[in-house]
Amino acid sequence: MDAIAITLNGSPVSGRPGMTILDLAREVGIKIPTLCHDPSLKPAGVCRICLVEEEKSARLLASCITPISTGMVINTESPAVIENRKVIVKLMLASHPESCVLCEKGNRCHLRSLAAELGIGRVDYYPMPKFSGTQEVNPFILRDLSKCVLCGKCIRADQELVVTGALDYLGRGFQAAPATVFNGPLETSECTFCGTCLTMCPTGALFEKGKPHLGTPAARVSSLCSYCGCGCNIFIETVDNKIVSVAPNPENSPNGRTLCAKGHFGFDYIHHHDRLKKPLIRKEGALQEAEWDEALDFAAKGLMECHSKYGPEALAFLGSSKCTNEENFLFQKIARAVFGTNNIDNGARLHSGASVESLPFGAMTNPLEDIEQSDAIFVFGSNPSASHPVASYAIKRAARFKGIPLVVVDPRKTGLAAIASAWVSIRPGKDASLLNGMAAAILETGSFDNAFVLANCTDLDELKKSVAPFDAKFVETSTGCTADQFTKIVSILKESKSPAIVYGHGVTRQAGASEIIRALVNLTLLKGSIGKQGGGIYPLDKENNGQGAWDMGCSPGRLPGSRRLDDQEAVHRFESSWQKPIPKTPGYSAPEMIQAAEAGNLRAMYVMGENPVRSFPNSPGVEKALGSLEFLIVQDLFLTETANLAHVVFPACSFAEKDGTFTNIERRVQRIRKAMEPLAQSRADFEVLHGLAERLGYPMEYDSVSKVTEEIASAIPGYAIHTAQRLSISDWGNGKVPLTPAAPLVTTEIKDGGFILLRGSSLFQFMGGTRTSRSSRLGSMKSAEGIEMNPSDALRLGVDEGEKVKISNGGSDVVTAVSLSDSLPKGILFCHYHDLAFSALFSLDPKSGGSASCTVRVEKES
Amino acid sequence: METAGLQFKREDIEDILKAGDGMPSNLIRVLQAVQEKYGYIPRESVKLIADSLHVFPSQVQGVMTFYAEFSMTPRGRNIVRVCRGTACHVRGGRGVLRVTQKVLDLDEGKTSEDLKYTLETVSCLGACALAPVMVVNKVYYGQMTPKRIESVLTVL
Repeated sequence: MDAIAITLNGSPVSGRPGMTILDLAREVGIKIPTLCHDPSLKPAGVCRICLVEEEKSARLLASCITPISTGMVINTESPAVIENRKVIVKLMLASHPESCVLCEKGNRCHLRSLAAELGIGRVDYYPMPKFSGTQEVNPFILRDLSKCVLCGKCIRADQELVVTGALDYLGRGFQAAPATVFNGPLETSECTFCGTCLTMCPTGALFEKGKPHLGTPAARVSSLCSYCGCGCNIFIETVDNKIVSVAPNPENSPNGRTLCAKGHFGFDYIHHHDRLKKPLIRKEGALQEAEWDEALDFAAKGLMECHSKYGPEALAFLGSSKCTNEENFLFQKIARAVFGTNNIDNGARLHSGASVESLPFGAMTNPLEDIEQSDAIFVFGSNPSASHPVASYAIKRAARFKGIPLVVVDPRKTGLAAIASAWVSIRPGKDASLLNGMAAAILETGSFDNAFVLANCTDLDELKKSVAPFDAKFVETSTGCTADQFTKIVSILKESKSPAIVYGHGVTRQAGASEIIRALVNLTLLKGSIGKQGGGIYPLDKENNGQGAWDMGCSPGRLPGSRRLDDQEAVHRFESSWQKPIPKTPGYSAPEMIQAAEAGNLRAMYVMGENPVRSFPNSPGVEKALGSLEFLIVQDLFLTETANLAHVVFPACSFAEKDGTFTNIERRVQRIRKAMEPLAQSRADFEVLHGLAERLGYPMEYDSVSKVTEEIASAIPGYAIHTAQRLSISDWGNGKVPLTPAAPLVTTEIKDGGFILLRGSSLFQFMGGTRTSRSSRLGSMKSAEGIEMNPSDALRLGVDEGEKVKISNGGSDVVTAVSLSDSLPKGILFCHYHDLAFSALFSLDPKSGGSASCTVRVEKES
Repeated sequence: METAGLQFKREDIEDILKAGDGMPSNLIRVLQAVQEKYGYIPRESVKLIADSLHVFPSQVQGVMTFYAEFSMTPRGRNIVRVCRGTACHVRGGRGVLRVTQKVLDLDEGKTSEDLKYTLETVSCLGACALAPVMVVNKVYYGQMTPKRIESVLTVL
């Protein structure tokens, strides 16, 4: 493309077509002040602060929206420019309250710094402040519209980045203000409280509620969010060893300027009074405070005793999808090298175990941003708006602004379903049948990537044979997908060159999860979209470091780097590095650990940063099993339901109090940094493991966390800090990839009057809710409690909103309130992971319907 | 507007929405058609309009509250607009408004309870040569005097 030459402040410069004057000025290092401009938003040109003068025509142009054109002579500092900028800022100040001294925005107010830069001490104009008063209803965001400068950043962020559309201008002229539809409160609007508007607001018009400190925080550290696996980069802002706020860090991050309600506001659990302050040891049946040395000795002794009494198979280790890579690496090293057991797993087993067994690295093949480059998006059993909000923003941007067809397959009408080109309310358990039907349809008409399949895959004929029975007729009668819907989604699939295939807990927590994933993989391979921009497969199934926990070898069948135990080369390498033999047979998975504990085969367990009693299904069963252990060590922030059963409890510190790395769902390895000193006597999991290893006679020579990071990088080639990379077909193993037929599970038909109960994520609570239930702001958002039910089912049962029903699965009963929901089809009920009451209805046994669905009977509770 | 006081029914605007053709750029045309039907934009229609044109409900509200033409509250069967532009002002536009207010017993911007009249002011009607001007139901009346105002309004 031809360069465009212009004159900028007297010097000749050249830019590329499509650049604005502002873009070019920034590129060559000339500062033009802006107010309404943000690099992540489309330029709007509404504030006129960025005026520059075109000297040939003496015109004043808004540089943020004026493209450069050949021969322009631009002056960014001419007397006319300065004069006009001053007038604009003065006019803004004239309608702004004189409350800077009290304003929470403090030194970060753009308006104030603009005025300071322009040397505006006195406004000169007659002050005409707008009076509105502070509006506060919701627990997160306060609004003082008298400080609003109408830059529209909140509106544009809400519409362009988060695609919620809760806000737009209301009225015009002096009355104009950002508002929700009919000017109602935010909590009754579409708002999801992601807080992006708060991040964007240049003045104090929007500010954070419940902030423990007003003004500019003393320190700001770049780190990562500790909830879902999107791996959002954040700044942690502290004052006096207390976190006062969290803000997105847009530099080279998956999230840009966005976060979600949990990530933005859910950090106060760190300072919750429940935080453990000292180690606890069980003495005479009760947990009592102890010193660190005593507790570490006690723990080491307990583990050694069980080991020598019952052998390595009686010990198990549950690593954490929340702890760092370094900690998980050390944890599995202790399990394997010190105790010689492969009974090691991690808390992500239930929701991402199926992916790990079916995909290379169990991970996304493409970075999240690729979703927006796709030509069709298929979302199976995932509600990212609640579970992985930042991923949902990308999907919504793709569908809304790029017109990319979006197909949502989910029994519930999720937030994405509402904007989808097609939504299939699939019957639970029928995903694999539908996918086989889709594969059959594209195979039949030849609309698949034959060249790719020939070059990279085997067993095409087997696949053809296996999917043949799943014709359109079969799909229509058995999956819940209507004929019209099937025609539509098949035509979208046919026309797509590189579909993005997204799936989530609705798939991975089903009984037949691995078959469904196999069918999803087949579809991806048939379309040849592996390794292509916009194509690929995107599991949205992990927590902040679920990926890292797997990669570090917190898995009963895999060593660090996802190497299998039958991979001789890898086993030798780790044996020689650790100077210890590694057992060659896979150990217990997490559900098997619980079963083995119940059966008495497991005698001691070490749980790091997990709360299985709360997060696993069948909470009472898990509690009973863990309670029967001879020795249980728990390392956590709080005295959790699991810690309550322990013999030793180590007070761990949160992600904000330590260093290390997390790996997000895109396999992006990123750093967390210590933002505050550990509270009370709590210690980082890393230090606990380090201290314990020494007492176990296996001292580790790490003087800092970064030494472990280095060891990981050498143990797993390529595992250093990096950004997300696209996988290619060669990452799927040596040679060609087989197209393995997927066999849908035979699901039992629901008998008359029976219901299927599904369990899923909610926006304001994270998974089991161990942390988010201790966040006061998140907790005050009453996300629907009780059980969600279709109104016509409720009518049939004779119950109304808020009335009680008894739900039973044959073994357990739960009495709960009903909340009516149009998003559910008839015969399906929905509850949330964090609602512990329902846990008893679900089973940990992978064969019994999955950990997030079960069949129940419902009756009105009189 | 033929049907002031009409109850909002989703079916009644199906054709209007269909004519919008799913294009955000047709928003104003659709709003005009809805207003033509009901005399105002009923609240219930906002989400339907938004969904059919693939814009956010808040954006529909943004557009309709920007233009004085659109009303979110029911309006009278007769719309009386008095010009308050500069040319009309120097020729006595303020008096025209006062007399009109008195005759209709209505404040500026208000609708009578029986939905017979709505009184609005506008900044210019483009008929300055006839100042002071008022428009009643799309008919222009120029060089208004108190007497003419009364005769125009009483025949409604």
